[in-house]
Amino acid sequence: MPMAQEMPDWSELQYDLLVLIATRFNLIEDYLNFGTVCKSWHCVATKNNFNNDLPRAPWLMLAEEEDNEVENDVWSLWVGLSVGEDEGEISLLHPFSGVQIVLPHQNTTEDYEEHQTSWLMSFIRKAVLSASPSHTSDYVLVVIEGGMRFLSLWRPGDLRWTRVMWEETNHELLADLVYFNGQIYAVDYSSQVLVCDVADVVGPEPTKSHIIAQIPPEPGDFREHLYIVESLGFGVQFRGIIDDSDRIPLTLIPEEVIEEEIEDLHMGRQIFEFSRSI
Amino acid sequence: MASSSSSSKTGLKKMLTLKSSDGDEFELEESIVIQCQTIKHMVEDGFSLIPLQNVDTKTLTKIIEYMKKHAEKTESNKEEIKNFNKEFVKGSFDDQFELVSAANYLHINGLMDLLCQSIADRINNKSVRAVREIFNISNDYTPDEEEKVRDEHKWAHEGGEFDESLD
Repeated sequence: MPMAQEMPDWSELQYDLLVLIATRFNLIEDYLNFGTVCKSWHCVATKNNFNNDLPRAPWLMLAEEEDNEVENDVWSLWVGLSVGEDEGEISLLHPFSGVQIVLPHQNTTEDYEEHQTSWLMSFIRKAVLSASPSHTSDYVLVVIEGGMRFLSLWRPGDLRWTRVMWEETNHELLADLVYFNGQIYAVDYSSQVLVCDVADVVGPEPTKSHIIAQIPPEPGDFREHLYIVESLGFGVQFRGIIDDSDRIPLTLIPEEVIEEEIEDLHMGRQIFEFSRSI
Repeated sequence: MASSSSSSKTGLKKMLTLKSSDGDEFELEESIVIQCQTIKHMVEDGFSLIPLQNVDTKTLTKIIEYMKKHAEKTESNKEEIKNFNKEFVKGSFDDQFELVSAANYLHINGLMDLLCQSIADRINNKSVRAVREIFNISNDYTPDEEEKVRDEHKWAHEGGEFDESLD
């Protein structure tokens, strides 16, 4: 047996282990502090190692109109400490003030065990807020969860997640969603755009949903990234982006399609703009 | 040689011996030890006495404790395993240096995850000075270098106070 052990010098920890530790920080402040400790840790704290392979939902950006000024606010979905295989507690975090709003655990979704995702993929894939919790307590948080198969929502005071049950709708894995005027719009990987009313989800009956658009697939055209975005106060846009360099220009799908969809939905002045890259 | 599949059919448990760098030997069931990828590969190559030159007895004892518990994992005792993990990382922090290095060498992914998370948690919300104390790291920057590094990310620290304590 060795003599009384000396205190290890953690600056000498193997490089690959330092990388593993570096990828586990949730907050940029902690990550930057980590990189300031000593030269060997600094080498590891590169841009690429931050948040690289931890399951994590993206940040939520909110643009709010207040006194005719558009104000940007950021909330992030924070997945806390996970010991073992379960994902940790989740909360909404306001990164600048440090305010946290604790959310029900992922395991309050229906059949959580069955839909649990592997550690490389977060249980919650994407999240949006209807309004900023900084300004109101009347908001909903809508997420794509369970291996991208489901939508669930949470309102302040809810003890568990409420899953959107679609009626007579088959959809593929969900790629993206937006909340607009009380409705949730989602796009799946077969380029279908689905919509449902938040007010419906709250009731006991399955939610009525519609498929409001289907972008015809083209041969050999695999859409890796599909986005649905809100045009400020104006409507929603759907974009299939094949890779980042193709972001611009976008072409519109023939107008007849758009007009027809709008009429079906009695959307009044709201405009659905369905566009995709060339 | 009898293959491992035939031994499991007859109900006999195949045993393996792990030997620490201090020369101590530990006899364990194969089913426990194969959580460790490095050893699994050696077992597949026909070894039954496995010398671990980079792992001392103290560290190996802890690792065996972890592997034994995790070999019992079923659908129904998840909570128990979770609590075990929590307790496991509570021990002396100095030991975690050897443990995480050994887990890396032995390729026990679950243990590596657990330890790396535990180490990151020790750093979270701490000031740089506190982290250096906790981790026994001497500042190897010149004052000029350190100022430069800190200047790179001044923007992130506005309004934020970090914990200077060493707990």
